[in-house]
Amino acid sequence: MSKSAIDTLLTRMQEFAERPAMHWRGQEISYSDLIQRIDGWHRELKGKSLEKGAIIVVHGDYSPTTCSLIFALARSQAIVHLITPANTSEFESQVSESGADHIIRIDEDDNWDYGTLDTPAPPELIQNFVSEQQSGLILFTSGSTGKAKGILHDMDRVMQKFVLERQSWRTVLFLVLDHFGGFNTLLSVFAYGGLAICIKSRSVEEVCQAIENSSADLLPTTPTFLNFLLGSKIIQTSDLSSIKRISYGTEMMLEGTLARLNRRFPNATIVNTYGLSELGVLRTKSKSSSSPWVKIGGQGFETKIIDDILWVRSTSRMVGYFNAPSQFDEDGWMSTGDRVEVDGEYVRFLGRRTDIINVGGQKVSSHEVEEVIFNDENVLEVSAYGVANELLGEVIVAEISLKQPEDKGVATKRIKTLCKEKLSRLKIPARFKIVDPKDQHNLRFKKIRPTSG
Amino acid sequence: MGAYTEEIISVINDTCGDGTCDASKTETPLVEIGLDSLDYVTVVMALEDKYELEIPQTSDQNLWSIDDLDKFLAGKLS
Repeated sequence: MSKSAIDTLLTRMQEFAERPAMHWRGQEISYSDLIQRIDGWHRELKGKSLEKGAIIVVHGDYSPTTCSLIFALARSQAIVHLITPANTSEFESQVSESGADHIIRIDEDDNWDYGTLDTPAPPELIQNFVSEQQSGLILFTSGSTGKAKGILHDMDRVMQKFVLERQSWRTVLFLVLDHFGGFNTLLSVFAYGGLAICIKSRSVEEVCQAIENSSADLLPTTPTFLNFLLGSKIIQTSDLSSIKRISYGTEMMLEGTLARLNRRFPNATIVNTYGLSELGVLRTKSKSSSSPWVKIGGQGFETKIIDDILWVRSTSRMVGYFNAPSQFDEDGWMSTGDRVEVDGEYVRFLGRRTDIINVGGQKVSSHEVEEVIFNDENVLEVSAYGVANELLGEVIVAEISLKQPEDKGVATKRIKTLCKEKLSRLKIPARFKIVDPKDQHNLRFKKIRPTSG
Repeated sequence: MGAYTEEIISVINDTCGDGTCDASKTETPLVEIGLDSLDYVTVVMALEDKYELEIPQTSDQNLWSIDDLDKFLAGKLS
C-alpha cells in the first residue's frame, strides 16, 4: 500500500533533524523539536479521542504549537477548521456552518486550551467525508453572492503536491494562515526543509526586521504590502539583501510598482503566483521579473480559456463547497472568473467580473457590507462599492440614504460602530457618505428597504 | 506644532483607537508608529472628507508623517 502524502512529509521532516524549522519570537525551533511536538500532540489528541472524523477548530496564528497541531491533526485523520484571531468576528458564523464541535485555541504566547462547541450537525458534504475517516481541511473564502463560501479539502490531496522535493527557502509567513495561500506556503516550507519565519504583525517595520534577523530569502506577499514597503523610509535603512525571491498574488500588480520593485531588489526573482482556495496554488513562471505575463500550470493542473475567462482543472481540487452549489462542471473544470489576455504560452491577468472589492489582497463582498449596514434602523438605501486606491488596490465606500432626517455625523458614527461590531477590519468601509436618495451612486448594488402602504 | 496637528492627531486616534499617537511622534511616518496600510488610508480619507480636498496617496513618495500631512493641509488651505 503506497504511503500517504502526510506520512511522506512527516518522514521527510524527521530526516531534517537539527535543521532550523521555525523562528518565532526570537526562538529557533528545529525539525526534531517540531516532530517531538507533533508526536506530543498526537498522544494528546488520542487521549481526547480527537481522531478520525473529528472536526476541530484550530484558533491561532503561526507558532510552534499551531503548526505542530495542524500536522498532528492531519496525521490523526481529523478535519481541521482553521480560523486566525484576525477573523474572530467570523467565528460564530463559520463554526455554525462547519459543525465543528471541538476547539483548540492557541494564544499569542503559544499557550493552548481545549474546549467543545455547541453547534448544529455538520452539512451533508462534511458528514459524508467524516464517514470516510480521512484527514480534511476547512477554510472559508468570500463568495460572489454575499455569503462566504465554506470549502472542504482532502488534506492528503492538498499535501500530494509537496511530495516531489524542491528547493527549500527561508520564508516570511506573511500570508494569513486561514486562507489557502498562507496554508500552501506553510506546507511548502516544511515539505522542503525550509525555515518558517513567524511575524507578530504585517507592518513594514516588523517584516523588515524579520528579514534582517532571520536572513529570509523568500517573501510571499501582496502588491499592497509591496507598495507600502517601497514607499516607507525604513526600507532605506534595512538590510534586505538576503531576499532572493519575492512572490505576489491575490490582487493586481501595477506595472509601476513592479518596475520599482525590480530596481530595489535587482538580485531577486520576482514572481506572480496564482491560485484559488478551491483548486490550489498553480506553478507559475513569469516571462521576466519585470513582466506581468506568466505561464501557469504545473503537475496536477490543466488550464483552458473560454471567452477570455480562465478555467482550471486540478487534482488537488476541493472536495466541494459545503454551503453553496458546486462550481465544477461534469468534467471537473471550474471557471475562475478571472479575465486573461493570451500571448502564446503566457497569460496576463486583467481583473475579475464580480461584485467583489479587493482590499489589500482580501476579497470583500459588497453584498456582505450592505447587509450589515442595512441592519441600522434609519438606513433606507445602501450601496457599497470599491474605489481605486493606489496603496490598497481598492477601498470600500458606502453610500447611504436615511429614512428620517438626522445629523450626518451622528448617523455615520452609529453606522461605523455597527460595522466594527459585525465586520472584520478589512470589510469596514473607509468612507461613509450620507446622501440624498436621488443622488445615490451605482444602482446595481442597491439595497432598498420596502416601504409600508 | 503645526496649525492642523491637533486635528490630525484627533482623526488618527478616532480611527485607530485612543492613545495611538500624540504630539511627540509628529515626525515619524504614520506606518512606523503602528498604523497599518488600512489605517493609513482610512485616516487620509477622513482628512480628505473633513477638509474637502484630495491628499496624494501614491507609492512614488515616502509615506507621510503628521508633520507632512500638516504641511500639506497648510499649503492647500491657507
